[in-house]
Amino acid sequence: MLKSLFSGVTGLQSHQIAMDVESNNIANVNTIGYKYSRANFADLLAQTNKIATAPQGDLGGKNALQVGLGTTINSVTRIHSQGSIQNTDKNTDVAIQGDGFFIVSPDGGNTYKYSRSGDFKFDANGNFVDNNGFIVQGWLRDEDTGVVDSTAPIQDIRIPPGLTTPANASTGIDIKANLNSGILVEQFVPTFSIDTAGAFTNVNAFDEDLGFMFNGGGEAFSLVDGQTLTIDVTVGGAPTTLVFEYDGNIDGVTAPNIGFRTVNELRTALASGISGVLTGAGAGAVDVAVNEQGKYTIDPALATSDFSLNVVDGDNEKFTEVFATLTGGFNAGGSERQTLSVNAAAHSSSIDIFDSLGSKHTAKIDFRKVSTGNWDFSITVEHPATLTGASTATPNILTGGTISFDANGGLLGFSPPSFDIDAHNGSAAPQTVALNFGTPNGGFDGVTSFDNPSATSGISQDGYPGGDLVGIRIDQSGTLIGSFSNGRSFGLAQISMAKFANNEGLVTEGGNVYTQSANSGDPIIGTASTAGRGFIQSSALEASNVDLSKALTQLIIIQRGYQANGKTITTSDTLLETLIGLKR
Amino acid sequence: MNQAFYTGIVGVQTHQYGIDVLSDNIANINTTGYKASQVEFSSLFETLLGSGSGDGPTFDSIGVGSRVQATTMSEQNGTMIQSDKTSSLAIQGEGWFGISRGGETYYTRSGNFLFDADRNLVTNDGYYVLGSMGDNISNGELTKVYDSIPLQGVEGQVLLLPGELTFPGEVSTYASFRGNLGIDPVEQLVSAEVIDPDNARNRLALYFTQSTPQPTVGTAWDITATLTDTTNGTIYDTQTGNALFGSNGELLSYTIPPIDNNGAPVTIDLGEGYSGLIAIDGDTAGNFISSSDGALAGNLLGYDVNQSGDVIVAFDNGRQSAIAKIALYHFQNDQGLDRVSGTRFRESPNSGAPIIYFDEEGNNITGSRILSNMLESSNVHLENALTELIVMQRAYDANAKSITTGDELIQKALQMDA
Repeated sequence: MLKSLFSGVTGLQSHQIAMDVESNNIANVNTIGYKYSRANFADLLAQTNKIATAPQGDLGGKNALQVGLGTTINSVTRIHSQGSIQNTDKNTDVAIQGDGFFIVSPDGGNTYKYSRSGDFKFDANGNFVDNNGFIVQGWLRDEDTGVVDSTAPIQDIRIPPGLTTPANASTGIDIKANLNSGILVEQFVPTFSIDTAGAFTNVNAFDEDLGFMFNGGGEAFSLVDGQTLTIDVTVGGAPTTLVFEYDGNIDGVTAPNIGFRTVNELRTALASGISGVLTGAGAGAVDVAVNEQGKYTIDPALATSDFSLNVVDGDNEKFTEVFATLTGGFNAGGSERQTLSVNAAAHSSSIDIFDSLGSKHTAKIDFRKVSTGNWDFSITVEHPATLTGASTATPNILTGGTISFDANGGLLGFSPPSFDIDAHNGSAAPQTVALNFGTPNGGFDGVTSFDNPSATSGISQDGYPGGDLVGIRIDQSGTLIGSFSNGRSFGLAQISMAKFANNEGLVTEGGNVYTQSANSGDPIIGTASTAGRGFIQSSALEASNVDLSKALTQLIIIQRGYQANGKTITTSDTLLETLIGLKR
Repeated sequence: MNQAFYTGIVGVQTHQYGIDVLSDNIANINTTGYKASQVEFSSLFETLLGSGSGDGPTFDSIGVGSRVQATTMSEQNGTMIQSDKTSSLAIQGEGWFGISRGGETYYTRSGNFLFDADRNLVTNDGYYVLGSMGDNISNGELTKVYDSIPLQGVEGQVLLLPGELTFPGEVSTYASFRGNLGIDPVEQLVSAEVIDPDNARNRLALYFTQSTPQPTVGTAWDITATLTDTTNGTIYDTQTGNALFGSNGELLSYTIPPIDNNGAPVTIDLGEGYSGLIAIDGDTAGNFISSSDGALAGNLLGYDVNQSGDVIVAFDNGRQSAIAKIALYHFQNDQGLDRVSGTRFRESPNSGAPIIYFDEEGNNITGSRILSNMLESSNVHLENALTELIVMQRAYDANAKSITTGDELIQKALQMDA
């Protein structure tokens, strides 16, 4: 029969296939992750009526006479171009920007299927699944190390419902602060109170150097070695002049001056000096104490006669002002009189630390200036927690900490470097918490001491209480980050991605998944945005890459091609009719 | 007589036959599962001219016409068409459904199956669809849950999918708990629902109170478990035990014997490490999750057929089970099947016996995918069929011309009277 008849049929058949392919593309114009296909036409083998001949002598060469036998669709190519990314409201939707496929498995990881459709969700058991119920493959967080190891073999991603995270005990406190080194401070506390016998009422108190103390306005006395305070004591007749001299260098004082350096030494000097004038023997005619407000009190309770004091002179103006209020008469057995307050520069920082059970303990760090460039600090925690090394009277207060600064206000060093806390609630004890005040020997990255108001600019610690999983989001590397009710976030799992040498070689399985074929090559599995794999965008889906304008134009082309092939058949039929009609 | 007469008649006959086959194909363009037939012609024997000495350069013989050599089946798969019926099945790939009537087994790819009055799966003309029933239905109750039903043999069974089926309820065997007890010495209550042998929902409550003395590290709790009937408050059983938690609140160990649930023991599972109950401080204390197995009785919701041909029954309590498997047969030579109709075939000596595929572990596999809610349409290609029709018609015309030409020759010979 006529070759043209069957050429026409191959044309019809091929165009029918092209039509099938194109209508499938249009049907999937709204399918998530769909990649459109293209039918590739090829000519069929030709019948050779005459073979080609080479030039021979005077006769030139001749081309072959070949008649083609029609067309066929020799392949259908899937075009893996990027579909547009649509934002969604579901945070477990993911889209791939770039090359690569999600890996899903219907049988716990024995066989893999590949998909660009990232409409994932969690099922009742916490499996991360696609719409076919295939479980997304990736890496899970190792419970022991706490990291997601993306070099391990991939497995089913499963986040069990009701996931909790245990508490993490604090191991360190970082403080960034300034302790005011200037002569005018805003933060100060009264000096420790001392009773009339010279004993401190506070067990953790220590005797402070008056040279580095401040008045009630926060102004430094800045006493210099040898500066004096002159007080006249009058009992009836002529006044007796008492000169108190500051012995800052502890090198002795000029006779007959009475030396003092610390708060308690001055208290003793006042008591013995005034009593000495009153009784001539120096016994306790007046009781001198330092009260809770840091004020010296002079109590004439045991004096046998009236007397008066007159602060006549002083080398240090601010220091003299404090004692000027003593000027005036005292009645024997009458009421006490006070000086103005004596204060120490101070600063406090506090932070909540956590023990191994997640219980919160507020740790308060109190700094107190002791001398130029040297501060003391103590650490206080709440009952019933105790600190190792604290006194038995106050087991929750650890004293004796020191911190020193160089001339530039940089940190020279501090001690102790850590403290041990025992919460007495069943948590692991002792819990050692390191103190990080900055880099010693001139560092400016932690606690400093400039002439600036004291302030804590940053304080942090690394512990946290336990928490429940409250939400999951997915980052660009495909990591499923769980946020917990304790404010912490952890990578719980990571979505793996596969890349193929030949994406077009993948075989479609329906349900938006592909399987590997002999011509796709093996999957190269790894994390997103590495080794040529695209990155993952969450709360987004990749739309179908079908271009409707192209697809509809293709329909016109196919339709016209089909019609033309039909014409070759009807024309061939007419030829045959003519042929049959030849013989009457 | 003139050989051309007879050769022409044979040609007319064979092409008539060809047109018959083609028109049958075209008539079945919309028949589900129809397999098109193709006509193949061959030449008839030759008559020798001459002496047949064998030395001549040519063979000197005349053919005496053509005949139909074979009608072959087109094995192409038809297009899949969606159907609204779950019992509409299609085979993606090769293979045949088996149907039977009166002891005679036929094979078809037309999967538009229905249920008869007895709830047997049948074709629309009443042939039973073959497969294997599971052994898990008794007196309208499901007795066992299967993932898949094995095929018993090639002979197959009628598939009976009951219209009324109940899931008898499943007795709970364990209850597991997660959550945080906290570290404060307050009583914590955790509870779960468990199903007893009477198919009633009972409440398993665990009361946790801190033991005395407490260990220096971690916490220790005493557990009192009670199992109560929720309807009348009857306490079936009470058990006591204890649990020990470590310095980070992890569960170190626990002991509590199984508790009696109206005659069935229920194991209490508190997990281990951080994956079950924990005892840490914080806001999460008192949040608990419990789960248990067992299910209340359920009624039939519907049937589905999965890719492996398993008939899955779903119940309104969320449970499901395979109850039957639809057989998929294969043949060494599909072309050798005896064609009963365009959609129905029979085993013949030339097709070989039907085969059922098994995997290396001896489990039956279908070898192809069975799609439910799908039907395979006819595989007739209209553009082919219509063009073939032109070819047949023109060939018929040409053969008829051989006859009329032979007639004219004889007329000429008869007129040569003088």
